[in-house]
Amino acid sequence: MNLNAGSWRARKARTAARISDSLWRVWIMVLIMLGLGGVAMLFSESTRRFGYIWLGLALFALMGALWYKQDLKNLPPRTPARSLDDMLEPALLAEVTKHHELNPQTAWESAAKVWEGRFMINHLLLDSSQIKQRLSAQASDIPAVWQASAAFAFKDNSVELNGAALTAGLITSSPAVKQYLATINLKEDEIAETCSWAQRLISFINQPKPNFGGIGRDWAVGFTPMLDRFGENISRVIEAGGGHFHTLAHVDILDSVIHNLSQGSGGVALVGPSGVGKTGVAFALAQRLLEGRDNSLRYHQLISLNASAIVSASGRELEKIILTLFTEASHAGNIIIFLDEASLFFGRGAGAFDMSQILLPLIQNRSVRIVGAFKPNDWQQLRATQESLAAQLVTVNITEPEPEITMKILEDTALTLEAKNGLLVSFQAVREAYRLSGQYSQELAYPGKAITMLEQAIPYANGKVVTAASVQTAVERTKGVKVSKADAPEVDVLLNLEDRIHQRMINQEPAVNVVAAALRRGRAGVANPNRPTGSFLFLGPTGVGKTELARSLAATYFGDERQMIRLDMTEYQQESDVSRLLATGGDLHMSLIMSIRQQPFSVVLLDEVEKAHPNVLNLLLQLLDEGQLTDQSGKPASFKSTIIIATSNAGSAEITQRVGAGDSLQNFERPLINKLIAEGVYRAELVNRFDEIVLFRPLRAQELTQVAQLMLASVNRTLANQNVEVKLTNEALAVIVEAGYDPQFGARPMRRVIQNMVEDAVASKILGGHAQPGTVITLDADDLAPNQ
Amino acid sequence: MLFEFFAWWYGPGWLQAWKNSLEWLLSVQAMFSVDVLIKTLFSPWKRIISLPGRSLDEKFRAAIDNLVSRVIGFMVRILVLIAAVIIMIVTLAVGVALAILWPLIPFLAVGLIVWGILP
Repeated sequence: MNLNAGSWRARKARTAARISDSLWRVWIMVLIMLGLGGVAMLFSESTRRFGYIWLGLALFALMGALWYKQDLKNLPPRTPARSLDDMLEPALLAEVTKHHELNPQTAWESAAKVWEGRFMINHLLLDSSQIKQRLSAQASDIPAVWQASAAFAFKDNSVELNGAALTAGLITSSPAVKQYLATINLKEDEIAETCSWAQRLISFINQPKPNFGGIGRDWAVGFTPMLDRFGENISRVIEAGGGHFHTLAHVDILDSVIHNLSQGSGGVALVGPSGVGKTGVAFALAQRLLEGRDNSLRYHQLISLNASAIVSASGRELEKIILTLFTEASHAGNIIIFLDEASLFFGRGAGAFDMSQILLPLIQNRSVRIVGAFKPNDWQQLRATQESLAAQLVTVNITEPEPEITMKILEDTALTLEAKNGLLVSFQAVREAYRLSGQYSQELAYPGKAITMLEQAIPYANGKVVTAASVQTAVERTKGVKVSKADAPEVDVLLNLEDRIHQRMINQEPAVNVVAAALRRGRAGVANPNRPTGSFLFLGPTGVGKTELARSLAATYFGDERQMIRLDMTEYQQESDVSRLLATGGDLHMSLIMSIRQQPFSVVLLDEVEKAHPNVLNLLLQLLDEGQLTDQSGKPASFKSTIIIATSNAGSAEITQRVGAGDSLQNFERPLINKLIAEGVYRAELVNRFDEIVLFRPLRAQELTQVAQLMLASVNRTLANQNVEVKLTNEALAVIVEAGYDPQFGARPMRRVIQNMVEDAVASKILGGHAQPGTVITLDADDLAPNQ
Repeated sequence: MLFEFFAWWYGPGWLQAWKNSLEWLLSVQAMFSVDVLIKTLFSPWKRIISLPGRSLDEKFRAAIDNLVSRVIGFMVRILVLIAAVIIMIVTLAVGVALAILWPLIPFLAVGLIVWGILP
C-alpha cells in the first residue's frame, strides 16, 4: 500500500498536529470573549455595529472549534483502507508525512514522537539511538516495515496502525536491530506482547465512559446503614473509580456467576487457591451489575463484609448484628453480600465466627444472596461440616489463568502501579515478576503471586523505572534467595570456591569439586530451575569430612554456618515421622518445611539418610525431583535454592578396606553403589535422583596433621582477642594426631583432643600469668595437658 | 484547508449535528434514570414501609404509612421526571434547531460581519 501524504486525512492530521493544547485554550478564550463581548455590545446603540462583527467572528471561531473537536481531533481510520494514510493513527500520520523521504530511520523518528511509540521504547527500555543507527536509511526498505507493522496491528484486531505497531514493525523487520535485541535479552514475541499491551491501553482510553444508572437509580431500594458500617460497598468503589480495569481473566466464570445468581440461586461459592483472582471476580461482577446489562440483577450492588470489624464491634451482640446486616440486605432489595475469605464467617481461622445458623434459613428462602470466596480446603471443610449450607451455594471453581492471560493481567496491573506511584514499570520487570514468582512464591497462585512480587519491587525502582533488577532485589530481600546476576565479589567466591572450602577442610577433592561446580551452575542459571541447585549423596566412614564439607559450604558461600538445616535421619525411623517433617505448627525445629520457609537459601544436610523410614525417603524423592515439598495444609515449600547433601556410612568398611589396600575410589565407586542397592540399603530410584554420589576416603596420616593444624588455627583465632598465639612443636603435633584419630570415628575425636590437650594447657598458662598480650606460647609434647 | 472544512461542515459535520441531538437526549435520559423512575413511579420511597400488625387498627396504620411512603416516592419521582422531560424537550429543541440551522451558520457569520461593517 502507498502512503499518500497529500490526502485529505493526511492534511487534516497535520493541521490537527499543529494545534497545540495552549493554542486550543487561547482559541476557546477568544471564542468566549467574542461571544460575550458581542452580546454585550448589542445593548448599546453606539457599539451595536461592533457587536454584530464580534458575534460574526465568534461564530467563525465556534465553527473552527467544532471542526477541530469533531473532525480534526477525531479522525477514525477509513475502512476498507485503500492506502496507508487511511489506516494510520492521526498523530503518527502527521509525523510520517512531514518527511520528504520516508525510510526506516525517519519512520523511527516519527514513531518516537507519538506516545504509543514512546510507550514501546520506554517499557522495553530500548536505547532509541542504538536502534536508529541500526535501521536502514533506504526508502526501498519501508514497504517491509509497513507490512510488519500492519501485521502487529491486525493481530490485536485493530484497524488503525499506531506508533506502537510501527515501532514493533521497525524493530522486527530489521536483522541488525534483531541482533541488538538479542544482546539485551528481548525476543520477537515479547515485542509483540508489549505492542498488545499498548493496544489494550489505547482501547481502555478510548472506551466510552460506562453509564452506571443515574440520580434516581437507588430511590426504590432501602437504606443500608449497618452494611455501610461493617462492609465495603465494592460497587461504589467501582463507581468512584470510573470502572474496574482487570476483567481479562475469568470472563466465563463471571458469566457463570451471573447466570446462577439471576436463576435464583441462593449464592455462589468461588473456590480457588489464594491469589487466583476470586476477589477480582467479585470486582468484575460488581461492575457488570452496575452496567445494567443483566435484567434481573440490574444495578444490584455488591457489599463485602468485614469479619474483623464485625467481631471487634459486636461483643455479645454478634448474632444481633449479623441478623441486622442480613435483614438490611434483604430489605434493600438490591444487595448481594460478598464474603471474602468466607471461611472466617463460618468458624475457621483466626478471628473467625460462625454465622451459618443465621444465614442458612435466609439463603433457603432466598431473602439474601451471597458470593463467598473459599480456598479449596476451606470449601471441602464446609461441605463436610455444614452440608446443608454448602448445598445452597453453587460451586464455581477458579483456576489459574493461562500464562498468556496472566502476563496481560500483570501488564495491566503494572499500569495501575505506574499511575499510583508515578513511575514506569518495564516489560522486563513484568516478565521477571512472572518468572520468579513461579519459582519462589509457591504459597500463592497466579496471577496474585506475580502481582505481589511486582508490588514488592516498587521500592527498589532504579530512579523512576522498575526494572528486572528491581524485581530480583525484591525477591532477594523478601525470600532470602540469590537471583540477581552475581556481582564481582560473589563471582570471585564462586570461581575460587574450592580454595575457600579447603581453607576449612582437608582433601576430599572430588566431593569439593562437584559441590562447587553445582553452585556455579546454579548461579549461572544453567541448572534446572525446577530442582534443587544441587543434590549429593556422600558415602564414607565417619570423621572424614562429610558434615564438615556441608558446614564449610554454608559458611563459605551461603554466608554463615547457620545457613545449614541439619536433620539427623535416625530420628525419622517411624512412619509417623513423615508428619513431623511436614508440620507447620508445634515444634518448628523438627519441621523441615518450616525451616526451609525461614531459610530458603541454605544447605540441607540429611545425616545418615539410609536410616530413615521408607516413607520419609519417598518424600525425599519428591524433593529431589520437583524441588519442593507440600505441607499438611497443601501449601508447597520450595527447595529450589538449596543444596541437598545426604550423608551415609553405608559401605564405609569396604571403602576403608579397599583404600587401605591401595585401591582408588574411582575403581570401586560404581560397584559399591550397585552392591548397596542390591543389598537393599538404598533404592535405585533414590540413588539415581541425586546429581552426584561421592565417595569419601579415610584420611591419611599427613592429612590428619593438616586437620590438627586447621583446628589449631581456629584456637588462635579465638585467642587473637587477647593477642596471644599458640604454636605446637612437631612432637606435640604428632601426639595430638595420634590421640585424635580413631579407626572407627576417623578425625572426629580431633576437636575434643585439641580442646583437652591444647586449650586446657593454654588456659593454665593464661590464668597462671605466663601469657601476657603479645606472647607466643609454644607447646611441646610434654606441655600438653593430659587427654581425658 | 477551506475546502476540507466546508466539505466536512456540509457533510459529516451536519450529520454529526443530528447525532449529537440524539446523544444529548439519551444522556439526559440516562442522567435522570428516566426508565427506572417510570418503572418504580409508585414504589415506596427508599422501601420505607411498615409491616401490618394483627389488629385492624395496626393494619390500617401500616396501610396509611405505606401509602404515605408511596406518595412521597411518587412526588419525588414525578418532580424529577417532569424536570427531566423539560430538560429533554429543551435539549431536543436546541439540538434540532442547531441541526436545522447548521448549514446557515457560515452565512449567518458572514451576514453579521457584513451587517456590522455596512453603513
